[in-house]
Amino acid sequence: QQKHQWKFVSIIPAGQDAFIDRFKELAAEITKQTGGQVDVMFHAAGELPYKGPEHLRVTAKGMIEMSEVVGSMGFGDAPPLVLGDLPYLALNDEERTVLRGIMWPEIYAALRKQGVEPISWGAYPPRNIVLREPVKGLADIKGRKIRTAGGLESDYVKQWGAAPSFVVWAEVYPATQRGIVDGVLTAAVAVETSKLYEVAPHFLKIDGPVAHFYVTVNADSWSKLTPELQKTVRGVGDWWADRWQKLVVDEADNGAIKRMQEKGQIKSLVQVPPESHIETRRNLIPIYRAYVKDKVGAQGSAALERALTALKLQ
Amino acid sequence: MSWELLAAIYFGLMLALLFGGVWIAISLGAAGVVGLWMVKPALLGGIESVVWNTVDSFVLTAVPLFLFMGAVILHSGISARFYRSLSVWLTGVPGGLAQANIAACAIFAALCGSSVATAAAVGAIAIPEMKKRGYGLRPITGTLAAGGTLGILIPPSIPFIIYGSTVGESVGKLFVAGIIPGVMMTAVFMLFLAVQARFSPDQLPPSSERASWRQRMAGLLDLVPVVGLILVVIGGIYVGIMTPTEAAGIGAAGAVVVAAIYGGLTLDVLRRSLLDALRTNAMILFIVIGAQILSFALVSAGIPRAIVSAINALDAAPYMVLLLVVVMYLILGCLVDALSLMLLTLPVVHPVMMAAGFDPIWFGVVLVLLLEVGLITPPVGVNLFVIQGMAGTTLGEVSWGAFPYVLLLLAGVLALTIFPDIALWLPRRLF
Amino acid sequence: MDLHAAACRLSRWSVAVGGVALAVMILLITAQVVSRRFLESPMVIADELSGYLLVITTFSALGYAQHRGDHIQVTLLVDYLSPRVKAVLHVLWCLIGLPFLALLIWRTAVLTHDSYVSGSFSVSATNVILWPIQLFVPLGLGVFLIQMAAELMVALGALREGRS
Ligand code: NA
Ligand code: NA
Repeated sequence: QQKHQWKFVSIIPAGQDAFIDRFKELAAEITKQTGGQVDVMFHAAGELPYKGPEHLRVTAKGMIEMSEVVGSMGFGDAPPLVLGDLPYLALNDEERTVLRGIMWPEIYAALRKQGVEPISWGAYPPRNIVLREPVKGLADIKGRKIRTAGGLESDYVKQWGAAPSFVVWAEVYPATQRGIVDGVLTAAVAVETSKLYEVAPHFLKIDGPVAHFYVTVNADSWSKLTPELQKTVRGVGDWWADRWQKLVVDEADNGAIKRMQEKGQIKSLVQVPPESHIETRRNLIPIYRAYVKDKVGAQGSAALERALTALKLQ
Repeated sequence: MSWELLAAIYFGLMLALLFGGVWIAISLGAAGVVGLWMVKPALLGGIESVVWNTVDSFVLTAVPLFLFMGAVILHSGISARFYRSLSVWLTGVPGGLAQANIAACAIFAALCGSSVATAAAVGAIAIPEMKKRGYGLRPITGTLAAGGTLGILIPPSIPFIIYGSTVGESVGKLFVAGIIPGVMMTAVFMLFLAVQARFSPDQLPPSSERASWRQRMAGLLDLVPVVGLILVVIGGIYVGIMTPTEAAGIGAAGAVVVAAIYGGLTLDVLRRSLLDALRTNAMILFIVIGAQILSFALVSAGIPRAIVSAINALDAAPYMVLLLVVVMYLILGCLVDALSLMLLTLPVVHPVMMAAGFDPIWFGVVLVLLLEVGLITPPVGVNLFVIQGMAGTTLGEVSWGAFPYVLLLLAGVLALTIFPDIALWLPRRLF
Repeated sequence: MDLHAAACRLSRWSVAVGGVALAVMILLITAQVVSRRFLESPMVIADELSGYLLVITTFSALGYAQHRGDHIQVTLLVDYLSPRVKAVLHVLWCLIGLPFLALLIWRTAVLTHDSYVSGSFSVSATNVILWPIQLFVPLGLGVFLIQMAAELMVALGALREGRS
């Protein structure tokens, strides 16, 4: 019996256990369910020399056998990945399911074209804004400097009249502490683990977009598996995708907000009403179109139009 | 092949290349290449990622920028005036300008996050002036290499930022935790120098001049540009205009402005300053690249993980674990650069230390002290390299000069172990 | 043609490019700080561009640093050797260094070529096409390699003269 040894890397550094524990679990479960025939060893970010934007390429080349490819990081090599992460295009679970039905085939085809096999996927919890000073709603962030990671994130922050600003993540805490930025756009879990609430205790719940990632396997490594093993691995992938949604997005993220509130770490929490998301989406549609046309091309534009129709936005 | 055998081969090969005189960056990198090839030849295809990711970094831009700032201050003649003034103020203090090295390093440390940049910035000012005044090469280079290490203990500090974000601890707390140990180590270094001056006056010549208060007051004017620059940069960081890394850029631009105001700015000064910064930066970052290739080989062979599980398997008492960790950092610190060392070991050492019941903030400070040791122990000590390059002397000479400070830093680790509150009291007060 | 003189000229041209990159980096970061402080819409691209400028700054100076003898060595033991043995060692160093540099050039050229073929662009703030920046890596390493090859020739020449 052939034994397959896979290295599996994620973009999350050691210490962010809400995410890391899940990835470790995926590795362990594949090893367990295949009776050790596929032996997956997990590596947190920083252990191996690869950064998120390279995961797709180094997996396709077989430098590593398995990796987490984050849509917003992988689209430099596989532009259709952008289709999974158009901010505020889907506003609830129902719409998200509709959108996946249209976009996932495009994304999976793009991944396979690069030479990797997608076996599972997930999403990082919605991004929200934490601020140094209290606000009453979206209107109050006009003119404030909000740290974003760039790209489309900057575009919707700009829609609200705020000034998107960038500092490297390692400097976000001191930069916020000293007012170099007024607020930070990030997930609640990240606020809790980085203790950003110490310097930005005011929480503006914008139910921001989620960032999708795809767990991919090098195409050669994948084809070396027997059909039964492939089936087993896929089965674990499906089981794990549900588990991620439940344990990370539902429990860990909402749990983080609740814990920070209970401990008084969050000093105020303002929920942005759903109507304003609908307005944000309406304003963003021309931006989606331009962005997709520019980055993905005609096939991407066609998928976007199908999605807009399915969501009754045109 | 077992990891023990692989580790022995890697280290053996690296040491052979290093001591055979091969350029340090190439010694590390070539040992890494051989290591990668032994694990799996296809891993050589990861090298381009290492090279690109190491240098495509905003955080590291601080290195050439602070090098440039120091070079402008040096070539425009501001440093000469700064030092003349400092020497007037320090007449009669045992250790003289060597004391000024430590003090100036501590001040620079308060405005930059990197030890290399601290050592380089002060070294550029101090070395020519002190050589002129007959100080021994060992105290000159030793104080600068060691004083430079304060750059990562006194906030802001890039290793604190990376440690905090890696293990999920508050960077703010880490910064605050570094303040008292930073001041303590500065004081200990200066105290040691005063004692050394008593016993070796040939190396640390007592000043025969006596300065009048009138001379001192006149000298104040020459302190203005350097202190002013530091105030602008520190002030900019603390008032909230810029991040510590950006401060490097402002420092570089500010140095040019100050040089223009003080009349020392010419095209030739600019050209020489750029060249100095470019050369030293290329040398340093090429070593970081070599070290990262070696790290890649170590991780690929599973060596760091194997070491952690070996320590865990011992099931030792907490202070035994700490002792083991300290010894490990001493050994690895001789061979691997600080940033690589931290990135290489944290995934394994942090869980071990937490399991042994140590405080994460406290360990962050102890870790930085151990990284400081690594910066001044040969054969791979980045501060030694920078100062050696500037002073035009041998690595051996600088290493001997810095050796007493290795012991003082280890004494600092011991003090922190006996009295953890040296690090933990201030964060507790503020947060 | 004298290889050594040509290599030195090449290294000087290359480091001049690095000087421009470093100067631009200083201006860019200053502009970022000023624009964030005083303008409504701060720059979001300066951090990313500075990273690229660091790449250019670093790699374009490697050859010049070699020319000036800046790349440091552990001379603890070497210092005790006779000039003759040192000259032999110098040849050996180059014979180890040249294949290492050749490997780095090959791998980073592959990186650049892959980016060119797939049209890879940055996923951070700028979305710039990556290969023109990545090209500076193998080019800079190439200048370094030529400088070291010239040094090898000089070392071999010295060795031959010493023998006769
Ligand atoms: Na510092
Ligand atoms: Na060292």
